[in-house]
Amino acid sequence: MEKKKENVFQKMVLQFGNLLVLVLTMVLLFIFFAVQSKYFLTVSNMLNLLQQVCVLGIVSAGITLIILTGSLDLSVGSMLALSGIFAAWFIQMTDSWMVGLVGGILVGTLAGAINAAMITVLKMNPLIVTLGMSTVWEGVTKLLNNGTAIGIFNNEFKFIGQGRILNVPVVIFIMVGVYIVLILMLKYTKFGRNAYAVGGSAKAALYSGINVSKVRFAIFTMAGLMAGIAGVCYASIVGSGTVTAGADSTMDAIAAVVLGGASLSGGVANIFGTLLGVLLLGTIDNGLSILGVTSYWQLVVKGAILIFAVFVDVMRGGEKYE
Amino acid sequence: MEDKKEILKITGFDKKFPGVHAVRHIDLTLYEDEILGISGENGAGKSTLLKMISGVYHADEGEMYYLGKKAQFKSPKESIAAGISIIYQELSNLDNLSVAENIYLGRLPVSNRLIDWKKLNRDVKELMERYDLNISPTAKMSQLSMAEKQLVEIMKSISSNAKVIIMDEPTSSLGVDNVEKLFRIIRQVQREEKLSMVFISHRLEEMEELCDRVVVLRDGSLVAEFNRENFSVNEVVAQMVGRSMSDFYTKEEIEKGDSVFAMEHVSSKDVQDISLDVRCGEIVGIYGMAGAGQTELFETIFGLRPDWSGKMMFGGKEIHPKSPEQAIKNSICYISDDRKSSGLSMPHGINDNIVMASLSKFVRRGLVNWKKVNETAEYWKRTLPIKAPSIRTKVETLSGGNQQKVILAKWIETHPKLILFNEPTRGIDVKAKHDLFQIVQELCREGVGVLMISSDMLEMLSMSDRIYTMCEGRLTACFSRENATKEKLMKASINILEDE
Repeated sequence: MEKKKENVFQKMVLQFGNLLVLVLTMVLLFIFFAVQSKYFLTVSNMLNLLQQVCVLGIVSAGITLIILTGSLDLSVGSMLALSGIFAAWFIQMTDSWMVGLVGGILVGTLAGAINAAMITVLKMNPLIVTLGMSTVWEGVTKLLNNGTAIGIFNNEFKFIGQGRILNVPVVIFIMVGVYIVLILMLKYTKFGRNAYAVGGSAKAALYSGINVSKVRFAIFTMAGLMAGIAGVCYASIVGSGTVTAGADSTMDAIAAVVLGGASLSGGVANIFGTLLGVLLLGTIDNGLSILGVTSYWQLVVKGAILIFAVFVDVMRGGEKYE
Repeated sequence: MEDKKEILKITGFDKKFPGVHAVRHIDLTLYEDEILGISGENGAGKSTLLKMISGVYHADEGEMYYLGKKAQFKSPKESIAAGISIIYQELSNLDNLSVAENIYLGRLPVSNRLIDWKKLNRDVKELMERYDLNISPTAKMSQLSMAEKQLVEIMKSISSNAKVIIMDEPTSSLGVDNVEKLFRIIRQVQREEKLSMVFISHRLEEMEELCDRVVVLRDGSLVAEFNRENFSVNEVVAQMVGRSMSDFYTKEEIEKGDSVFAMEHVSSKDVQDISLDVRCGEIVGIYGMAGAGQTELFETIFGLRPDWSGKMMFGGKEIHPKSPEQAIKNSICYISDDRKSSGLSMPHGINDNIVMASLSKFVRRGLVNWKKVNETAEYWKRTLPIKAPSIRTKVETLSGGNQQKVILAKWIETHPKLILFNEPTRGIDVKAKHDLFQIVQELCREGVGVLMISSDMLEMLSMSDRIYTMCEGRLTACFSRENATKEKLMKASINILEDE
């Protein structure tokens, strides 16, 4: 009996250990940064930190869905930039914040649907398709205004990224909203459960009568939708549609999802874990900036953390490269 | 035979897997310059024995002597280096490389640290000419036919100075003309190289033609040995199936209803001219050797192989299943022989898996009703019963029998009228087998029809109301429960027809 108890305990550690490690790392980082700088733990910096992670948070939510179904999408960063610059362009054309908001999100969704069609209808490899399309969207982003940013001078639109409600930045509400919707979708809708099944075993899902292509199509389109929302938020925060938006966000998003305990072999992902992963990356960015460490070091640290997260996944019995 | 040199000698080989005693105390000697045949039913232990010799598996008990010395190969690499060459049924050629590269893989000739392509191709050409083979050394492996690939494998063994060549079902994917060609080469190789060969097959006429000696395995034991002089196909068949019928499965009399499913002259690239029918409450078996097309037949019915001609009738209505989704809508379900990849979503819980094929039932106003899902899962866990700490336990941690019960529960939730059951009890312990068949009979009583593939003949005979035999994509015979005997099934499944 004692041996059995130990096994249950071990299983608990295996199942939740990842989140535990994540929370622990966060606490240590908080203590470290708070000791180093008085400014770090102030309310204004905490809100600042949350605001900074919103864009990454929304993109990562989309990547969580992709990794859950056992694929990868390398084009979310460029879809983000594409949506942002189109939102700015729509506003320049119409001076309507609605057109900018909806149009920008639709552009991202459409880009995702194009990825999805190639992957599920033409049965092309998702890694290569999204790698190729990432360059295509980057080119289109630059073509739109000859490689330069488009300024946004519409105050209603800027309110999305810069405004506050009850002294809390609007983008934080947007991110929290996205996460609540996704958590509910994955737990309580047929589509969400089917996404889990496809990730667990695409063959078993197919044999159970689940339309695997349809599920995958929706997932890749939703990654585009999330990139679109993130792109619009980013454009609103910086007040222009820039061509360099989202440059690191593909890598950062994958890092956040893997840190959050998702398995690269599919079927295991945790939206809440992703949020913790995003916050961890955001804390590192924010803290190192406050301490005046150059952004070059931030790159090294973030890359190393991704590698470490994969190492932890392999140690936990995740997908080994053999 | 007495004065011949012993090449390979096995004494007391024994191997147990969880739930299966795969090889039981086998003594076997391979002499110099002979062709030894090994035959046996599916699962008799042929492959396990082979893998024990090559070092893939290690014997629990027993010893092996090779060329007079005690040998214990830790891996296939060691046995190959020692001169034991095994040609597996699933060939391990590298299709993207040339014939010559395949033959000299891992020992390509080198001069000045660069690969000597001239010497390589010249050597292989000479080798091919010696055996009168018309295969170009520079041809890509992928361009060759199955028979040519087999021959390349044999050439590879010869060129590596193998002393023993073991061939596992080399003819199973060859036509008659190619088999003759293969045999001609095998005889020539054996004569010229003074090699010992082991030939594993269930085609008994081929054994009769080729082998100097044939041994029969049954349930992991070596039960008979025949020399060229006293070989008789009938005797071998009798030895292959000579198990005593256990009364473990108790089949109940269940009243049969109308036809639930019928096929008329269905043909595709995998199966030829299949006509069969299943009635409500009936268990119909399909018996054949591994690879006779049974699985392909089931996949065709389940909509996984949509290119076929002919007619399928389900409950009196014509159907054209084009996807599993459609088949399930027609109340057909398929329990595959490969639980791990196509039956279950391994990283998820019992509850998730049970509702996987019938999730719509548990959705109210767009939302999954988890209370109902979990109640259903608890019901099946209690009823079947599924042994697990909780309904949230990941199915990857369950035993084979409990996994199979989860799959059954998943399909019962879809209210099937026809169950396609592929190898229902593979890798499952005795108690779970018993439970499973109780459930299946319960379903039959409610009017479900069952089509079952099993390579376990006893299971077939004791559970089926009728049995079709299948060989090379065709149904060769149909036996009623009363008429079916082990000998008849065995013969029909290797297409030896009864003398009238």
